[in-house]
Amino acid sequence: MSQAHVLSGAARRFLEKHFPGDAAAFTPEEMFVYGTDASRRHAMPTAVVRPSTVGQIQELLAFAQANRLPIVARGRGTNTVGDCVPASGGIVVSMARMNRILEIDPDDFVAVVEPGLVTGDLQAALAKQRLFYAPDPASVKFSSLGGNANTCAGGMRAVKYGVTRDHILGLEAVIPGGELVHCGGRTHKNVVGLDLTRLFVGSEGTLGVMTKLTLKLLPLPAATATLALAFADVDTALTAAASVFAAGILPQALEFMAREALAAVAGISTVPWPAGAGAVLLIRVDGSAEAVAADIRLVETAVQSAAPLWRQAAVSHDDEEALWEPRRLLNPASFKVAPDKISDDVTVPRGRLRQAAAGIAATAGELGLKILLFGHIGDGNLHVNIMHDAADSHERARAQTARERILALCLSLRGTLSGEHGVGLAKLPFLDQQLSPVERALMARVKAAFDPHGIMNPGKAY
Amino acid sequence: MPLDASLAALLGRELGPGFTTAPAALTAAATDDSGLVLPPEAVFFPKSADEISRLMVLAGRHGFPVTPRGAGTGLAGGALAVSGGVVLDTTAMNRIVAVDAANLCAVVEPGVVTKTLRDAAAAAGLFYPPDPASLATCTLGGNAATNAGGPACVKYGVTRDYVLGLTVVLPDGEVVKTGTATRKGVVGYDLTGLLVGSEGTLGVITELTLKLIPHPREVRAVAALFPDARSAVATVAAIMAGGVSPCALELMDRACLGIVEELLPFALPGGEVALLLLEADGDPDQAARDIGRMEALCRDRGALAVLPAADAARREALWDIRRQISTRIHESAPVYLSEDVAVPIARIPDLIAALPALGRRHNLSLYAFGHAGDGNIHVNITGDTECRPRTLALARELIALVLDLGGTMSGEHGIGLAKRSFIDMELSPRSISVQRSLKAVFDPAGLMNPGKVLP
Repeated sequence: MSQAHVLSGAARRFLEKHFPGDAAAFTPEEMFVYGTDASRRHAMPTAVVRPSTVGQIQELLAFAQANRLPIVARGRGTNTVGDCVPASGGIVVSMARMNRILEIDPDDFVAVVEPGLVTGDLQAALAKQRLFYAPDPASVKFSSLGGNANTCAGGMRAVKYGVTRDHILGLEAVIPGGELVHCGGRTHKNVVGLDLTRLFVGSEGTLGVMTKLTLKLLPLPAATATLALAFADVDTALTAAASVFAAGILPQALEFMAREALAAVAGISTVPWPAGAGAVLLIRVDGSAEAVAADIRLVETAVQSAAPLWRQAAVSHDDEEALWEPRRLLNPASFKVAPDKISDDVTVPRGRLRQAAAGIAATAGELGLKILLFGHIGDGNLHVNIMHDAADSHERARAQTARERILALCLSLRGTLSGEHGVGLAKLPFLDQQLSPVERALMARVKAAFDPHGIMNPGKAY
Repeated sequence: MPLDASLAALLGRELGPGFTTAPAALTAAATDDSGLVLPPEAVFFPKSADEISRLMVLAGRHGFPVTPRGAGTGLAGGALAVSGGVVLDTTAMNRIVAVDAANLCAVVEPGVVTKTLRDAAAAAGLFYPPDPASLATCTLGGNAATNAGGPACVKYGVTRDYVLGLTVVLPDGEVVKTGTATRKGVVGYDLTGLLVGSEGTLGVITELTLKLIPHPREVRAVAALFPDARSAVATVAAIMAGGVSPCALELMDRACLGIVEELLPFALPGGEVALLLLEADGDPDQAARDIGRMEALCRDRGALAVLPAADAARREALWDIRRQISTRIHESAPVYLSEDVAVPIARIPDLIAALPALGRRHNLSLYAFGHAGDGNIHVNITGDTECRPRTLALARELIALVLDLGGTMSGEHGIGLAKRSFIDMELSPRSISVQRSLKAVFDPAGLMNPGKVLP
């Protein structure tokens, strides 16, 4: 066990003093769950604290800086790449207790929140005032806004509204040493100084601990409607998707599921589309009721030449939900296919999706693996689940090979290793395939400007 | 001054015919739209990233500053050489490398004029939304360096929302690529976001990958006259909250209307009237519906007149009013200062209400117009030749008020030279020191556009 895994007596006394009662945890039983996230990796924290105030975090980061103690902040642990796993030991800072909505201002179109607030809770509060916070990662019902900001979470609506970074106007963060910095503001435009807000967003907890977020709000769209379409094969479905954009329509969501993914969902639930479908598109549009109806007609015309096997439109909330529910069941359904998966969220330029999908299918065939392919193709973001049984060493090795080939393929198509999940621990071994040594060195120096002793989420990223 | 004759001769030999010390070139590079005059010692017109890299290596070796410049339409002096050295004019790097309809993006060199790209995208059925007022002359590299805005930002966002990736020459001459060609990407720190808006203080942008979207098929405009700015802005808030997403929401106060009176399609009444120019785009049906809803909201909120533009020519005439306001204010007095404060939308009336007294106190004329939908109000200050110290005192008071209202001193123009002495009113000492250390990460020798932004 390295030094970081052992809490000194002085450190323990400091934590007990500043995090009294159940605000600190030291026993393995209490700490265990704070050592994992949705990546299914685990490492035992050295200690866990649950702050309620910014002041506590400032004290902690002053102490941690002076004593070179690693700090791993976590929201709700829904991260899929191991960002919340204290791989080098350290004090895990759970932000779950700092979960207040501080302000919703319908005139300024701004919400100010603490980072532990669950994203879905904010969306529910806003909907009552006919306001809208656009980002919606799949984990929206249980992931936190602070976690979303640290990973720059995406989601289905990103094709129209952009990702988390496009909706954070300003933030407050504690940096190593305990000082508080304020970035950005509450205006919808601001060009004063370097854009530190954008630098913090997506930094995966490696620069500081966010303590307050100022979010951009939009008017809640009056209506939505969904069109589900089934096609004979993947290539036809992706061609149809491209024709939606070519027709000048920017849908709120444009989701895709390929044959193996459809079969996985059909294995645990009834699905609306015909059993033989090679691929399904789910297209949601939003706006006024009239605009939505007109857009659905335009989409239907646009996809006509791709000859859909089946189509179903939904305008009522319940009917729409019935079409979207199978998409949400994909993750649990995947584990019925095989006990283990390697999950990637590669992203390619939209015009390269067909090449990427064909290459992934070929890889699956060559290596004799089931690969579930689905995702937010409106922004070129493909979720690739390489299903395998890790207990079988040959199969595990083939799954690794598949992963390496797919990542290399996507980079060769001018894509990126990750569209929304982040790098964390899971993608670190592949980072140099995307970033040049000059870029990576620049990022390391940027990190050092905030965190000269490397105490923030060490072992991750750059 | 760091560039003596022998160094200039050496640079001429090393850099070739793109390097010049001709007086006409120095004069041309001495100004932008800030009203300041600061001639450099030499100007370099590179044709490639390699040539820029060579210049930066020479700058490091000989210790002279380099100031990147696009078309020089900045309003804050960001492209002016404060301490001599070489102005790096990117206007010769003006190729559109690709307009890619399948991937909905464009790859351009930094010297491409914004309108040129917008036209090329439109020809392919695509749309590059950022539309700074100077779009017919300003460059995309300059837009990215300043994170330029424009009227369409209320619906479509600012320049940074359209920059997917960059190629940048760092101050030590190394070339880096940031970001991606994809709509999403979370690998590494967002260096693209850091470079956009950094006003040429971190590196030189040599190529941009820009996001495009499908071109809206129709755009409709309407002008609405209100008895006062407060009722105009209340209407703006009602429109924003009403689920309509206008693609322009421009406000002009009484002082502005006064100087374009003969262009107005109505008789200008007395009192503190204010004009809104509203636009909606999308499908023909949707644009018509949205503009109809906005007209109805204007009437409900007490508009004195609602004047829809029946055709493209009349729409153009409304925009001409808006554009003529800037031009005429600029020409109306020897001294002209353009502040571009932004306040939270609901605070716009408080800002506008405070302006007349502020102008009287400093004996200066004030004009307010701008992008009401995102709270970004251009406050123009004019006065006689002797008034510069008074304009600065007024600007300081204005910024204090704006910060009090929860706003920012600059929504889209940037800090450059003009607002540098005010920046500590908005940013805390710690924020400034963090930014200084980031600047040092990129530019340890301080040769990249020195004397700008940070105090």
